[in-house]
Parts: sequence; structure tokens; C-alpha cells
Amino acid sequence: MSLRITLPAPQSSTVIAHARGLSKVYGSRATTVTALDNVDVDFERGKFTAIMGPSGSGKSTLMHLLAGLDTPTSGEVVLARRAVSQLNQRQLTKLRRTEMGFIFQSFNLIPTLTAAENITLPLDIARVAVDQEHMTRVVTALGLAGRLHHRPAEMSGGQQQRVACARALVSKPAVIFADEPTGNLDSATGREVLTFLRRSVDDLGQSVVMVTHDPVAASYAHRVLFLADGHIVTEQEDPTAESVLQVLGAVTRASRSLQEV
Amino acid sequence: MFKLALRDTRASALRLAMSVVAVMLGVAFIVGTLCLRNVLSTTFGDIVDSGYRAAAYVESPSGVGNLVTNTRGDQVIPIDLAQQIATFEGVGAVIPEISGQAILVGADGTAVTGGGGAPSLGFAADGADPTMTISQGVAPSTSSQVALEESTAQRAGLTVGDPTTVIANGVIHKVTVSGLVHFDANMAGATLVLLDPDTARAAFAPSGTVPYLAVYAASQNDTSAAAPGATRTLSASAEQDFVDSVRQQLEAAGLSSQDYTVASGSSVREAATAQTSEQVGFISSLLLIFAALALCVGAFVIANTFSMTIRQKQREFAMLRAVGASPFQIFTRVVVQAVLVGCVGGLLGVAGGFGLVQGLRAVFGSVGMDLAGDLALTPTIAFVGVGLGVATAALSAAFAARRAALTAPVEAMRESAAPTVRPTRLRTRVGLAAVGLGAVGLVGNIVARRIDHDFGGALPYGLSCAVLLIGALMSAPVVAPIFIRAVSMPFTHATRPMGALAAGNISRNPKRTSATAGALTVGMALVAAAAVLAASTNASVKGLVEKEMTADFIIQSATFSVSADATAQIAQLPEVGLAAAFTTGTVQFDASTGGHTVSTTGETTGGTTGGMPAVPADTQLEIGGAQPGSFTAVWSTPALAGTFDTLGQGAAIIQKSFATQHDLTVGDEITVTGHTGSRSIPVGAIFDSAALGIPLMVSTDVLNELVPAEGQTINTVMVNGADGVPQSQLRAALAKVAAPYLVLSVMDQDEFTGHLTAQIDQVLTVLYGLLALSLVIASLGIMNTLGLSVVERTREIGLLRAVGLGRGHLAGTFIIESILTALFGTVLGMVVGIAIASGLPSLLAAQGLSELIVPWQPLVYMLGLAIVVGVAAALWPARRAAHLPVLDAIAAVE
Repeated sequence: MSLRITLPAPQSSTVIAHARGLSKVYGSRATTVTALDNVDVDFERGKFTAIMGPSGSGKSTLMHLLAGLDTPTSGEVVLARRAVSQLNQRQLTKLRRTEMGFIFQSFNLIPTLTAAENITLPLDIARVAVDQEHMTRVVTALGLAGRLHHRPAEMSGGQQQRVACARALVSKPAVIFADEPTGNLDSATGREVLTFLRRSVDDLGQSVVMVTHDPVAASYAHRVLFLADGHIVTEQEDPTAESVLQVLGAVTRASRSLQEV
Repeated sequence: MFKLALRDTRASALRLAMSVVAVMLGVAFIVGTLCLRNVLSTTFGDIVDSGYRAAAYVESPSGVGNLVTNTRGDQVIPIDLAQQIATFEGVGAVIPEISGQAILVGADGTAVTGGGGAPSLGFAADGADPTMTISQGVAPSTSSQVALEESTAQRAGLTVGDPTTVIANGVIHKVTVSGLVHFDANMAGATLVLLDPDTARAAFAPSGTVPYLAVYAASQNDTSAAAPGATRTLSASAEQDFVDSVRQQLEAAGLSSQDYTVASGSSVREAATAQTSEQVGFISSLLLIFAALALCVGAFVIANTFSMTIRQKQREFAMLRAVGASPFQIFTRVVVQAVLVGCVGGLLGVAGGFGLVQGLRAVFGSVGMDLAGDLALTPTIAFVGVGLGVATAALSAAFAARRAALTAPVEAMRESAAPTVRPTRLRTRVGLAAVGLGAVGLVGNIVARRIDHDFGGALPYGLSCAVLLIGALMSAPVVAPIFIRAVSMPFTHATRPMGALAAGNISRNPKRTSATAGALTVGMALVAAAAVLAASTNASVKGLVEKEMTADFIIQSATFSVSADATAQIAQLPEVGLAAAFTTGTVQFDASTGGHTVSTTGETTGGTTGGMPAVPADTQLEIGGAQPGSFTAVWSTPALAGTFDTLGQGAAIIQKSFATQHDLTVGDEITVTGHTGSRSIPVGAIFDSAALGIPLMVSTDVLNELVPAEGQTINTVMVNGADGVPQSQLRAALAKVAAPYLVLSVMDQDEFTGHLTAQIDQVLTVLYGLLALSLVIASLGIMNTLGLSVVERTREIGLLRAVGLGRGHLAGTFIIESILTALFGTVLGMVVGIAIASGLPSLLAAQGLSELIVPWQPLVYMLGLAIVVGVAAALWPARRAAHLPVLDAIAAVE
């Protein structure tokens, strides 16, 4: 936890979230593990950003810190003009209802609620009225119109992920954080979900940050950040699956050779 | 596998801790009951041993009675016989039993009581009595002297030389304490006063007869140096020789009679011990039933715990199977854990039960009732306690263990959330069938009894109730979701999403919800039934008293015997228009003779029926005596046949139930035999009064001819004021007369009703206390289930926190869940309890239960209690859930 009290750095209208000097260190003196080392990064509004890297690179940690699910050892995170890294639990909880959306790899839905109840869950918690028009639009676009009163157990994996997407979108959050959203899906269903995420960015101006290890998934993003050993080593604009694969391979090899030294 | 089990146990210590507590509570209750039984047996055994020390007893056919239950045999043995027997060879001393009820006024001016219902008795101080040792001062020799037993004096706050008052058999004596007396055993809080022989004889044996003579052998005098002057017990053969010798000498002296026999001291002690064992056995059986209930409730908790744990570990077991473990090995592993839980819980329970009894002893000791028995806890009891704990735990976990053992290895590959479980069809069908059967049985019993009053009885009724309860428990999973939805619907929108989440969680596994709530169901069913029964009984009593009692005031005694002196004084008061005394005496009746011969024996003071082992109980009957003419003035009940005027003509009036039982009508002759004479009495009238518990009444003149004065007890005195005397004046006058007698209460109709209902409420309170234990275990069960479900739903909790559910709201979800579960269990229990109690009026109509009242107040309290239980049980699991770090929760592996 950083002891510096900083004022949030001014954000331009194009940056929805940023991190400055972000570090996360686990363990004590003898056995420290540096998951993130002094990372600076900006995320543009209305853009789809993918974060990639070999295992242990710190990509998941970065996303957790951005989303306020974890507290940094040092540095700051600002999201939608709020200094996320300095908020307490109560304030963070409030933020999660309206300014953040989450899509996990699996177990996205509450099993005892219907699809409709799952979708409006964050808004119900916040006691904010649901924008019915927006909801209808999202539901139709995702092809869930006939499934609203079903329970998760009655839906396929792909349908469940789509419900999770709907939930993330309905509250119109500042950022949607997706952690390997297509990891448990077959390629066809996965492509469906990714297509929809990209469309929500293009058509609705939604900002999405996605952690993935799949080059095909990364190809749907506007920008890909590559992490290794707690640093951002490179990035790529307008990626394709092949270009991503190439860079990923190089990063992995470099990281491994560093380790062998 | 054993090592795995142990390691696993350490890891899930917290989870198993609650199962341990459940076992501990149940075992503690059982061990406590068994220890208490030991303590009571020893205490009363000591009293019997030290109270009946003689080698032989001259007794009537009804026996010597029982010091503990304060009953006496028939008073037929002439005192003078004692002097004659004292001259026999080998006889050391002969002490006639001259004793009766005596009330001692303590230093603070109130009657000295021992607490716990210990009796208050007076004895003759016989100098020849070897068991009596004067420890201070001198024995009483005049009518103004008394000696007190040591602990009695302590409780009374009196010492040698203090002035005080003693009321012996209803007569007030002003006396001074002349000395203190020591008895060998501790008297468990009894109040013992020794009077000089003449006063005692006048009070307790006015006609010169006593219930028995204690004959001590000369060889009983212990001349050894260790205990000079003490009385020792003879060996069995020596005793028998002595008894034979006395018998022979009696015959030789021509003193034998049909009225009395010589019995050995051991047989007398055995008979008395058997009687006390019966009573102690009854109480401890009742307690054991509640203890078993507590243990059953504990079994619920354990079964639930293991069931949930197994489901969580499903993947681990599947993996073990995949690497070659056999089903038996897995079964053993789970059962080993359960056995460990049972052992630890059992040991703790044994310690707890023992501690409970020690605590109880301290409590009793503080009110003056000293209980004996240093070693209440025997190895047998400890073994039983631990054994029960292990058996309960192992059996409860067996089903879950079986399921674990049969887990297919492929389960290891599956990744699914906590599954939704539907109750099995078979169980539901059986459950509903049982409910139907139970209901039909209940209704059938009720209807049949209305037609024929003797149909069925307690057993078929009890069976129907049991079947109904079990059926309700079995079919609860079907009812649970409906109930939950109905109750939560009004609140779901207002508390969204918590209400919906909570309701959904409960409905997702109705079997588990029902099992958790089951403990509460059973406890609340009994409480509800008891509450309905108590309210109905109170209402019936009130109704009866209102209907039948027409007197202005009623006077009763806490010792159940109103002083004859007091009664005479009341009758002479100018404010009193009519004072009618209801006197009772005990009756002997031989049912096999077809109901036309009834013999009476006198009931001596201070006791209830003289139910002696030597005489079968069904030959005993209590009869009452009333002044003809006054009966109708103070008691209003119609004569169903004949007229009450016949009382004055020497006839008997009988209750309808008695008439039916013995096939009697007006005009039939009954032969009545008392020890002073026999009479043939015609039946003059038949009446039906549940409040007047006496089956047969005669005029006081007739009673006097049959039963000696000391055999009669004035049970109640009913008073009507003289014309023009206001109630307050009458009451003041009565109170003034009653005050010196200390134990008399002057009550008007309302106070009398209150007095009766207070006794009922007392019993109810004890019942509530016993059931409170099952409630504690039930709330443990809820806490347990919730705690485990927190672990089960970790991912879900993480998800909820990630989408912005606050800690408070998350905790709220669990609390609501707990409240709903508790409410379900309570409402189900209440419904069953009320159903059970609704049939009781028809079952107990003969005992006077005429109305059925469902008391809404206690029931509302029960609902409130359910909510409190729900909240309390949820606090810890809710807190745990709320403080789960979000990141860890999301990342948790199911």
C-alpha cells in the first residue's frame, strides 16, 4: 500500500483509465515475488485493449489492480477520474456497481437467479432504475430474448457467457474487465462472444480491457499489451492472430532466456 | 487412509467443531440425567437406611409406609403392645411410630420449608430410641418444649433456648427449643421436630394406635470402641432369627392378631427402597426422553455436516478412487472422522453432564436440600456416554459416508457449481402418506372417543401423533419452497436482490433446508402442543370453577390438610354464615367383586393415598365427607339421578364415572368396611363433577363412624358469608383466623382459579426449560449449515462482491436465509403441535379438559424466538462471508 497521498493526475477525454508506477510485491524480505514492477499504462476510452503474456508475466495482477480487486504495493490507479488504488472497501463496492463490469472465464452467473435477474443484478444492488430500452437492445443483440426467464443450469456455456456480457453492458460501466472470457468455450461460440464485445466497443463506445492467452481472441482488440516478468515489454496496434503469435513467441523466448541467466 | 483421515480432521477442525458441540450437548444431558438418578437414589437410599434401622417391625398389612414419599400405613397397632414386646427376650428397645405433620415457625416468623417438596414432620422424642442422639441441650419433656434436628435448626435460624411456635396436626403450640438432635443420614431438607411423648401422642395417636412398632434387638447395640452407642444392622440370618423369635414370643404370650404381623427390617427397607426407586425412575425416564430428543437433534446436525462436507470433497474422493482406493477405504475414512467427533464430543459431554449435576447439587444445597452421593459418575455412565456419542456420530455420518464411497471416479473431471437437488420421489410419497395416516388417525381417535368414551386411549393417540410428526418431517422438502416463496414474496422486491438471493438459496436444496430446520420443527411442535394443552387446561379449570364453585371463599392448606382447630374457629365466626368442610379418607375397593363391596380404611395425617406395596392399588379409593345441606350451598352440580338430600339420610352420592365403572344405580346397596365398623349404604344420587375429584361422598356422621379422627383430612373448607356481611369484612375475619396457622390460604373464586392455573404454568415452565436445549442445538445446526454453505458458495460470493454487493448486504443475505429457515421449521412445528394438541380435549375429557384454546400470545412469541434464533445463528457465518477477500473468492477452486 502506497504511503503517498497523490492527487489523481488529470485525465484527457480520451483516457478512461491509467496506472502510474504500479507495483505489486508478494511475500516478505527473504521470499519476495514481484508480480508487477513499476508499470505505467494508459487505456483509451472507447477502445478494446487486450493484455497478453506468458504465465507469471503479471497480466492477471495488472487487471486485478486496475479493477480495484487488489491493492498495489506502490503506485496509483485512476479509473473514470477516481483514484481506485486509494479507495476503501465501501467506495470500491459502490464503484463496482456502476463503473465496472466483469466477465470471468467461468461461473459468471448466480445459479438461483434467472437470466433477466442476473443481467440486472448490479443495477438492483445499486437501486438504480434499469434503462429498459438499452436492456432490450443489448438482449436482442445478444440473442437472449427467449431465454430471459431461464436459469443458468438450463443454458449452454455460450449462452451463459452471453448473459454475463449482457450484465456487464446493461449498467453502461466506464470499463468492462474480461478475464479469459472465451477460455471455456468452443471456438465458434468464443468467436460469437468476442465479436459482440468488439461491436459493443464500436457501436456503443464501450471501453473493454481483456486478459487472454489466445492470439485469436487478442486479434479482436484495437491494441494488445505484452507483459513479461512484471513489465510491459511491447504493444501492438490493430493486431492479427499471426502478428500476435509472433510477438508472443518472441516475448516468451526472451523471458525464458532471462530466467535461465 | 487413517493418516489421511487424521490429517483431514485437523484441517477441517473448525467445521467439525460444531458437530462435536452437538454431540457434547446431547451426551451431557443424558449423562447428567443418569448421574442425577444416581444421586437421588443414593440420597433417598440413605434416608431409608437410617430411618428404618430396626431388626424387626410390627406392622399392619398395609406396611410401614415410606419416609421419602411421606406415606404411612394404617394406624391399627395399639401402643401398649410396645411395652409388652419390650419385655421379650433378646429385645433391646421397642419404639412405637408416633409421628405426623408438624409445621415449625422459624426465627423470621415464617414456616420452615426444606425446598424441593421435602416434608415437615413431628416425632415423639423417645428416650429409648437408639437412633436418636441429643447433640445439644436436652430432650423435650413438657408440652412447651421441642427439640430440632440439626440442619432443621440451622435453616430455621433457631438454637437451644429460642422460643418458637409449632403447629402439630393442626394444633398450635408455643414452645421453646430444648435441644438439638442428630440423625445419621442427611435428611435432604426435611424439617424434623421432636415433641415430648405426651404431646406427640395426643397429636398423632389420639386413639392409642400407631402404624407400626420398631423392634430393636439387644444385639444391635454396638459395644465396640469405634462407635459406642451406635446402632448396627444385623446380618440377614441374625435378623431372621430375631424376627422368628419375636413372632414365637408373641404367640406364646397370646398377643398374635390378624391386624398385625412381624416383618424383618430388611424387607421393610427393601419395600421402601422399591417405592422410591419407582418415583425416581419415573422422573429420570422423563428426563431421559428429553435427553434422547436432544441427542436426536444433534444427530441431525452431524448428518447435515457430513453430508455437506462430502459434497464438497466429491472431487477429492473421486480422485482417490481414480488412483485405486476401494469404496470401503473411503467409507472408513469418513466414518473414522465421525468416530473421532463422537469420541471427543462424548468425553466432553460426560464431563459436562457431571458438571451439570454438581451444579444442580449446589443449587439444591443453597435452598437447604442437601443431596448425597459423592461419586455420582460411575465408569458405566462414562462408558455409556462416550459410547452413545460415538454411535450417534458414526450412524449419522454413515449415509453420507456411503455416498462418498460410491462416488464415481469421473466426478473428478466435472466442474459444477453447488448442484440443485430435488427431493426423492419415494421419500416425498412416504412422507405425505404418513402425514395423511397420522391425520386420519388423530381425527379418527377424536371422533371415536366422542361416540364411545372408552375407545382407544393414550397409545393409539400417541402413535397417530408420532406418525404425523415423522410424516411432516419427511415431506418437509416439498413444503419448504412453497412456504419460502409465500413468506418472502412480499419482501422480495423491497429487499432486492437480497431477498431473492436468500429465497433462491434455500429453495435450491430443500432437503438440506428441511434437515436443518427439522430440529426446530420437533422442538417447536412439542412446545406448541404444551402451550395449547396448558391454555386449554387453564380455560377448562376456570370454566369448571366458575360453574361449580358457589361459595364466597375457599380455604386450603399448603400441606393439603386444613387444621381442625382452624376449621372450628372459622365456623364460629359471626361473619360466617356457613362453613362447609370437605373431609377425606382412603377407601379400599375390590374391583373383582363386581362393585358392591367397598371397604374403607382411615388415611392418616399428612399423606395422600396410602398406596402400600402390600395392597394392590386398584382396591384403593378416596371418599369424602360433607355436611348434608351444606353441600349444595357451596357447590353447584346437578344430580343426574336421585337427590342430594339423601346424604342426610345416610346414603352415599357417587360420581357418574364411578357408577358406570361398577355398574351402580340409585338404590343399590354398597357394603362399606372401615376398621372401626362396617355399614351397608344405599346409593342416594349420581352426579358428574370433574372438579370434585372424589368418586364417592357420604355425610360427615357416616364418615366419622368409618374412619377415626386421625385418619381424616380436611381437604378444603368452603365459606359463605352471613347475610349482609361485605366480602372484605369476611375476608379480613378469615385471614385473621388463618394467619397463625401459616400454611392456610384464603381464596375467592378468582384466586382459587389462579392458584390452580399457577401449578399448571409451573409444569409448563419446566417443559419449556427442557425444550430450550433442543432449541440451542437446532440453532447450532443452522449455524453449521450456513457456515458450510459459505464455503460451498465461495465463488458465488466472490462474483456478488465483484458486481458490487456490499459487505453489509451480503451478510444480510445470509441473515435473511437463516431467518427464513428458522421460520419454516417453527411454523411447521407449530402446525403439527397444534394438530396434536387439538385432539387432547377428547382424550382427557374425563380429567376435566373441556375446552380447546389455541393461545396466540405464546405462539407469536415462538415466531419471534424463531427470528431471534435465525439472526443469532447467522451472525458468525455472515461475518465470515462478508470478510472473504474478493480476489480469493473469485479465484477459489470449487
